[in-house]
Amino acid sequence: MSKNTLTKLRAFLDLDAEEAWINRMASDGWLITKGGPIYRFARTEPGHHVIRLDYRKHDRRANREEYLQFMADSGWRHLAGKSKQYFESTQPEIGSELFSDQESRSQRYLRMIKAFGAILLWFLYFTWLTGRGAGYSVSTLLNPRDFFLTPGLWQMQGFEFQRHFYFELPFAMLRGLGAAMWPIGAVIVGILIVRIALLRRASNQTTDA
Amino acid sequence: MNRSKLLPLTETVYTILLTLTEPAHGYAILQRVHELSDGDIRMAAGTLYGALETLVKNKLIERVDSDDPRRKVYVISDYGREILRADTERMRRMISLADREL
Repeated sequence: MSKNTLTKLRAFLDLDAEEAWINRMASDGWLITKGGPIYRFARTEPGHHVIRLDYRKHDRRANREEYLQFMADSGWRHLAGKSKQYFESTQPEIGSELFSDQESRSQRYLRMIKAFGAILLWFLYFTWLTGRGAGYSVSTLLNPRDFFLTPGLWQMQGFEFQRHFYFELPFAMLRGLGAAMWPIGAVIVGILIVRIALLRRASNQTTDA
Repeated sequence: MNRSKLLPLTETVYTILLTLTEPAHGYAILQRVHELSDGDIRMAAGTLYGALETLVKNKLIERVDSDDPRRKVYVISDYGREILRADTERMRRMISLADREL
C-alpha cells in the first residue's frame, strides 16, 4: 500500500516561488493540506491544478469565515493556511488569478511585513524586559563575566575558584541564553523583514517593465 | 480622508463604487462588475476583497445589515457618492478636452 500523505519541511518568503512549488506538487499528485514550514500533502488526481496564495490575517473568527465564504462564492476552495492562505480554483477556465492588478498582488508582501513587524516589536520588548528585570542586557553579552553572580568569584584562586566557577557555569549559561535569545530573534526577524521588503519592491517593478 | 489623495480613482475603485449604488455582497459585486462592463473588466476575488477593506477604511462605502452573517453587504456612502461624482466630472472635462484637441 502506498502512502497517502506526505510531509515536507520547507521555508519560503517568496510567494511566487512557493506558489510554483505547491502547483508542481499538485501536478505530481500531491495536494497541500497544511502550510509551511512543515507542509502536509494528501494524494490527489495528478494533472493540472490552479493553486494561488494570499496573505491575510484575521483578528476575528467572523471576519475569517466571511473571507472564506466570499472566496468560495467566487470559485476558490480554501485548502490550507491561517495567515498564508492556499486556494484552489474550482473553475480555472473562468478565472485563474487571485489578483487582477499588480498593486493588490504585491500588497500581500505589505501585510507580511506588518505581521513580521508585530513579532519584531515583541522581541524588542522582551529584550528590554529581560534587561530590566534581571539586571543584564545586550551589553552584558560582550562581558559574559557579569552572568556569574557568586560574590568575589573573579578574585578567587585555584580549587576554590574552579569549584565555584563550574558550579555556577550552567546557571550563567542559562542567564546568557535568556539575555541573548530575544535580541538574536529580533535581528533574525529584522533580516526577514528586509528580505520581504525587497521581494515587494521586485514584484512592484515587474509592472513598470 | 483628503479628497486629493483619493482622486483620480483607479478603474477598480471607480467600478466598485458604481456597482455599489445598490447594496451588494462580495460575489454579487464581482458579477455586477462583469455585467456592467459587458465582460470587459474582470476583477479577481483577492483584488476586490482588499479594495473593499480600503474603501470601508476611507469611508467611501459602508456595511449594511444582512440576513446572512457570512456574507457582508456593502453600499456606497454619501461621501463615496460625492467622490464618484467628482471623479466623473474630472473625466468628463478630460474627455471634452480630448474631443476638442483630437
